[in-house]
Amino acid sequence: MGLPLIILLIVLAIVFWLLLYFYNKDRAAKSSHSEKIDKLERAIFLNNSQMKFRSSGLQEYSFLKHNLTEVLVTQPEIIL
Amino acid sequence: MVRFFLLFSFLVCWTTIYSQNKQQIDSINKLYVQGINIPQDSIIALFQKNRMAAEKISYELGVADAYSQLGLVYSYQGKYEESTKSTIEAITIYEKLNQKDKIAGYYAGMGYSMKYRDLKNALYYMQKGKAVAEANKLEELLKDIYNNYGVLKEINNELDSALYYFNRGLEIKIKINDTIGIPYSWSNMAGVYGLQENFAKSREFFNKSLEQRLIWADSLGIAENYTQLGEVFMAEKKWGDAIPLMHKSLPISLKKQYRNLTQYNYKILSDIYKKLNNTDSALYYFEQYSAIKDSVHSIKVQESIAALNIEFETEKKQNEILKQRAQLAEKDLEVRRKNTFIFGSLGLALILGLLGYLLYNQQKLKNRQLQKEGELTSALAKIETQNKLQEQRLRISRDLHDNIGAQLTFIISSIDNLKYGFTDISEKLGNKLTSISSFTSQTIYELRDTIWAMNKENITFEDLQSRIANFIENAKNASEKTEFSFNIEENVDETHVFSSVEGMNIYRIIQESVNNSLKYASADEIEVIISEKETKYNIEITDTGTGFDQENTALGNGLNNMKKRAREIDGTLQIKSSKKGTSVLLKVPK
Repeated sequence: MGLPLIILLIVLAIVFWLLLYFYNKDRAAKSSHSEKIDKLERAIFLNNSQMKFRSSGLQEYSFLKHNLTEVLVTQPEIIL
Repeated sequence: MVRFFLLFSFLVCWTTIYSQNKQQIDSINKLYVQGINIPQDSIIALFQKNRMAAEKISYELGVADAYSQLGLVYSYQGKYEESTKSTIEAITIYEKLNQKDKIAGYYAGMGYSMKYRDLKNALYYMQKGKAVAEANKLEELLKDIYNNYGVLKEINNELDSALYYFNRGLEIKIKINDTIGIPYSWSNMAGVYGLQENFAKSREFFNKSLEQRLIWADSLGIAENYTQLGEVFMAEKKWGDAIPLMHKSLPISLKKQYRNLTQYNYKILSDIYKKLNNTDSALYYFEQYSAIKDSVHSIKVQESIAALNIEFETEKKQNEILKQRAQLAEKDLEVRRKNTFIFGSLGLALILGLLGYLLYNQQKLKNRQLQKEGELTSALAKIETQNKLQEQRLRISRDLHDNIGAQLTFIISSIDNLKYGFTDISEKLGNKLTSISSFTSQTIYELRDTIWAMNKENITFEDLQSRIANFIENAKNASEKTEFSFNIEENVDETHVFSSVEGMNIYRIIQESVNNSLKYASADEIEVIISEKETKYNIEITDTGTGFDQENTALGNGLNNMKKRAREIDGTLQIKSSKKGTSVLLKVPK
């Protein structure tokens, strides 16, 4: 077995090991990141839901109904 | 997957190297050693090296072939002991590998080669080879083994046995139609019959052989047969019959330059003529015999000199070749070193490059992840703050509405009760109470405005437009004598969105102006126009009422509030009044 062949085999072994190592590391990082993102997105969704719920409640507060009507009705000094 | 690739690469590399080595070993083992033009010691070294190479990769057939070649070379050198030893080593391995044809062939060959040195062992090995060939029905080998065994028997003076084996060899040759081999068997048998002094039978078989050779035009065989037939007559002392046969053989041996046969023919002829007392002819043929003997001798000497010359030249060339080989080996070593260095560097570069790329990729991935996480975290913080703010605003709004609003309503109610409960209150006090009630109502509206503005983030132009229209409609219903109109010019951008404070203040200014026109100016017509000029909304409320003197009249709460609201939204408020009516112009930036 020639020396170049031994070198080739060693290089191949190192290359495979590197690829495997980084593949596993990246996979772990992606998994951890995915968990974090899920957590954050869930929290955002929860806050959004709360705000939407409140906003829908606020829509029921009618500016015209509660203000305009009263303004026109409760101004006895306006003699028409 | 990666493991599989690694194993696969290793197997491919190993198989390639193994098969290349095998091919090299086989090609060296197939060298034809008899004609090779290098010293035999070098040949021995070559085959020894080849044997070791084969042993190194456990290539047993290669080892056996190398041993057999060594046996052959040793036999050429006259080192019969080494030759036998090497051949036996080869045969042992062939036996292990179950190569029956080679076992039989080498045993028989070994036996035949030692027939004149050690007839006993020659017979022993020949028998072994014969036994193997017979057991495995190797007819191609058996025909020669039987023939050679017959020769050994003939040498051992076992003439009947010799005849038997010649006959067996002949049977196989006839069976496989070996047209070249058959005449040889007949000749061998004829020779044995001759030794048995069965001259008729001997002649019969030589003639059969001759006929066959004449058919196939085997000139040398024909010449030999003629000579052999002559010898039979000589043995019978029939000199006259022998002479023509010798004369038939002689021209052929001369033409074909078969010197030994020619020399023999001359010798026989000389002897015959001597027996016949024909001294002239005997002398003539003897002279011919001597001449050709000398010539053969001279040729042999010349051949020896030439061989020595060749050997000398070969040695010289060999030395040169060795020198060149040493140089080549040195260069080869240097090239190998360089190659190793280049391969090593390339490998290192590849690994470093890959490592860099992988690290860069990993960092890129991390950055991307951090960026996304950061964005989401900041979005979450923002939305949480908004959520908390909204919650806080709602809580404050609820408190304001439920507590202060209720208290203010109670105040209004109390004042109204007071005003209508006591009929004897003075007009001045009554007006004052009305004013307080009105002011409190105003406070309630403003409180609600504040609550509304606090909880609403924006208001669209269309929303504001509909609310103003609604207000005008209500006012129209409340004051039938007054004509109301609400117009929006075509150039107005209706897609604009106001903040809740802007929307509320604009609406309140319009509301206050319309109320003032109704309340103080007794207007017949009230018009609200919204236009757009130089990125500003112009909201103009005009009436055809009695108007008021701006210089002499102190501004009331209503007008002051309108100006305050205009300032709050970075707008300007212009009030123009004459006896024909009043115009309020609000300019709001977009």
